[in-house]
Amino acid sequence: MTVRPIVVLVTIIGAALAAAACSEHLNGGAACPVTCPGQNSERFDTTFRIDRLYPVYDTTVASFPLLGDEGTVLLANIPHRADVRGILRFDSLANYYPGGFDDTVHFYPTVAHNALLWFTINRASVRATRGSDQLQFFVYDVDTTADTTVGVLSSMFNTPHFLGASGGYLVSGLRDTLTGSTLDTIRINLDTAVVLAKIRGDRKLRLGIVAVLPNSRSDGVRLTISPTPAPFIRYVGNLDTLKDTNWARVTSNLRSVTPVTDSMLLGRLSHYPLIVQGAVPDSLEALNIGGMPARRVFLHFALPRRIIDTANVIRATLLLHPRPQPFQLPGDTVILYPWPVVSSNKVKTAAEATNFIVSNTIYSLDSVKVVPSANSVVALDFVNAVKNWQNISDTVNTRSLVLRILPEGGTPLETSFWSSFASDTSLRPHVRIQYVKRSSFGVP
Amino acid sequence: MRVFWLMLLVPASLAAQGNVSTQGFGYPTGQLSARAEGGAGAFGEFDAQSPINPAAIASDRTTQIHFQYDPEFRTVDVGGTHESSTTSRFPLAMISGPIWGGGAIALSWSTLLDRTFQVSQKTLINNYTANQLDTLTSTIQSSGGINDIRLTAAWAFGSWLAIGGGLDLFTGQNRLLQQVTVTDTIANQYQQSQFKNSLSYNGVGASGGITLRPVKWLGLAGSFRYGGGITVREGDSASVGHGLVPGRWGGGLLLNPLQGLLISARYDWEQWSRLNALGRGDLQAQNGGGWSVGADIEGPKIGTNRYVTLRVGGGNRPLPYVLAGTQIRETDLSGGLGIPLLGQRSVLDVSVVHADRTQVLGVNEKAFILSVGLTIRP
Repeated sequence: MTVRPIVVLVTIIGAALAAAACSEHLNGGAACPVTCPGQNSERFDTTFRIDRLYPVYDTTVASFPLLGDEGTVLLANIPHRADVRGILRFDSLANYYPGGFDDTVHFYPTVAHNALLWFTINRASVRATRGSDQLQFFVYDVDTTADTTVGVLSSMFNTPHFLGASGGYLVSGLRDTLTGSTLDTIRINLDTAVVLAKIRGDRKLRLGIVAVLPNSRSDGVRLTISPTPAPFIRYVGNLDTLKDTNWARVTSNLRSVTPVTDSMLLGRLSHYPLIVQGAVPDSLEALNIGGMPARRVFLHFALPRRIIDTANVIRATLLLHPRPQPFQLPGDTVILYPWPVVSSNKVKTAAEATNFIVSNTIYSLDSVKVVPSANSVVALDFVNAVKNWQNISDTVNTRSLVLRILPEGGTPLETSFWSSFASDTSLRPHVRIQYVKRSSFGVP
Repeated sequence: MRVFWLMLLVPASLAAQGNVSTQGFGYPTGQLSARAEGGAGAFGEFDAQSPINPAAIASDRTTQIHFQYDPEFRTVDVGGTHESSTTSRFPLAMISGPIWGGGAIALSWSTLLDRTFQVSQKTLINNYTANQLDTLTSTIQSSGGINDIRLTAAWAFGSWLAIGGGLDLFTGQNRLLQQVTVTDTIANQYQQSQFKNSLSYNGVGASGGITLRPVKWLGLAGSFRYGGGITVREGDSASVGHGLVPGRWGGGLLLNPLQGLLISARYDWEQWSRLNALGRGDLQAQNGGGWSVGADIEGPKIGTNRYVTLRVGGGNRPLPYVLAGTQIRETDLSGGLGIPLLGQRSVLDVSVVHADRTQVLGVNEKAFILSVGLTIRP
């Protein structure tokens, strides 16, 4: 029998195609464990209780940010929980206005009227016990040589120092974030005589602002004043009460001129929060995060090297037991962010190390939402940090995390957990680790 | 500080093979060419492209290059579970040619033991924060094997006798991966665990063989491999294991009763137990002999003077390792074709072997091994 060359060719091509089609697919396992003797990998699930700073050094570090660096000015009035007022300094009130077409000619007003304070609030920051609450802003003259002394300043929020009040705003109206603007404007008429006296005097007008719910004093409210656009003071100046031919609107912006010995602080104090009642007091038994002023928790992990370096950790969870914080506003939650510390062991103290941090997204660490008033254990997964620490010397990275909130100084919200010094040992922080032990494998 | 060891979970098998054929240091491919595999290995002692009998290369004193691809399609049945896998192998490459007198020389590369597999096992673990069960997958993967690089020389003394010898260098590597992953719907809760390792082999041996053709219709052949020392090194460590390369001896009978018909039988004995010193575990290799018979038939004609060769064969051989006290054996049924191409300048050999391995511990394993070999005579 003779075959045609075309048959041979088809056979060859068929064989080639059959061979080319054989992509490798190795996966098996149905016959295990009976056909799978030999070395085994061991998976462990271990929980460490943190006792008196070991194996995790835990501590609260205050205060963040620096006074005046908050970005916004928080006003909070929550009974038994927070009393934070705003201070706005206009230390260089404009005491003249240009005359006619010649800018070099200045008119110094002897008469003023319609003095007002103008600022904006962040709509999303407005929160109160009830949406039906009426909100008012009261403004006081807090000009004193005591500078930032809370006791002195807070005592000036009284009738003799009263400068003006806003109209009533419905909280639900201010909170309305569905409108186009994220900001809402507040205008407060001020006592013109006092303002004029300042203009003609040392030109320093320092205002203390408080947010109150006049019709329901037991309710709480909080909001933030936006730094942009900047708050300002405006008045109408004139040279003669009987003539209105030479007048002008005169505007003054935020500025602080004290303390003269600290130019950095001087710059920051143009607006800052006055914390009359702020965060829960720190103690050895507590790990506090957030609040006014904001605190951070520093955690240095000295977990066994046989786990962190030699084994492969597949899950690591920090378990924190809460110290419930009552008197929160309805629906209040705090988001905790675990920010990795990137400093080496050259940075000796926790307070210093809490400044050498990077965003949690750098290590792919997830934040966790906490209800401060709740009593449920908070679990914070940090396996991706452990992966980054594997076989890294502490001369490069000290294996530490900082727990913080965002924005610091912009909210009185805080959360508190039992520390490694808690008298009830079951409430101390725990670290739960699941890991696979490295074993010599491969030689049958 | 107080440490709570909550649980020591059931160890997942990680040096696992997941089948009966690739236990221990691996599956013995047989070092057979596609042509010899068509006859179930029965022609191995006489086949110039199979690095079995060094004397065989003197029977085909042409310059030739041979290489081969052998995918294995394996099925494993355990209870009601059926599992399929495909393993790609390139088990043989050889270059040979004539030297002075009746001599021939060859350099071959062949797989002695192939350790290519991947085993995955899934278990459910408790996600203690989400209060749900997540799937944990343990995987072990191995690729590579122990290879035999042989330099062979043989001489033919007339048409009735040839003798040959070879020096064998056993080398190769197993690249191993041990991995644990957890599938979870919440991101960043779990990390993958991955350990890598490699085993490197170095060993020596020597081979010898003879073929006899006392009469035209009868051929006889015999060969052996002497195994020297072999070492295994784990990763880049100084840890070295020492063992011995398995020895081997075998013989074959070839009959040519009719024009265009060749019948062959072969017996082969392997000293696999010498690998035991190389290993660490409890797995034991055992010596054993295998046999095969096959036929080579002149088939349809291509062109004027070329024929397609048809092959068929069957046999039974031991695999090295013992499972649950049972030595695993493989029963082969094979068939194949040899197709001349470009005149007589090249040959395409295609064969299929059905391998049925000893059922043990309820594991029933079968495989089809496709073998495609191309021999080019430039």
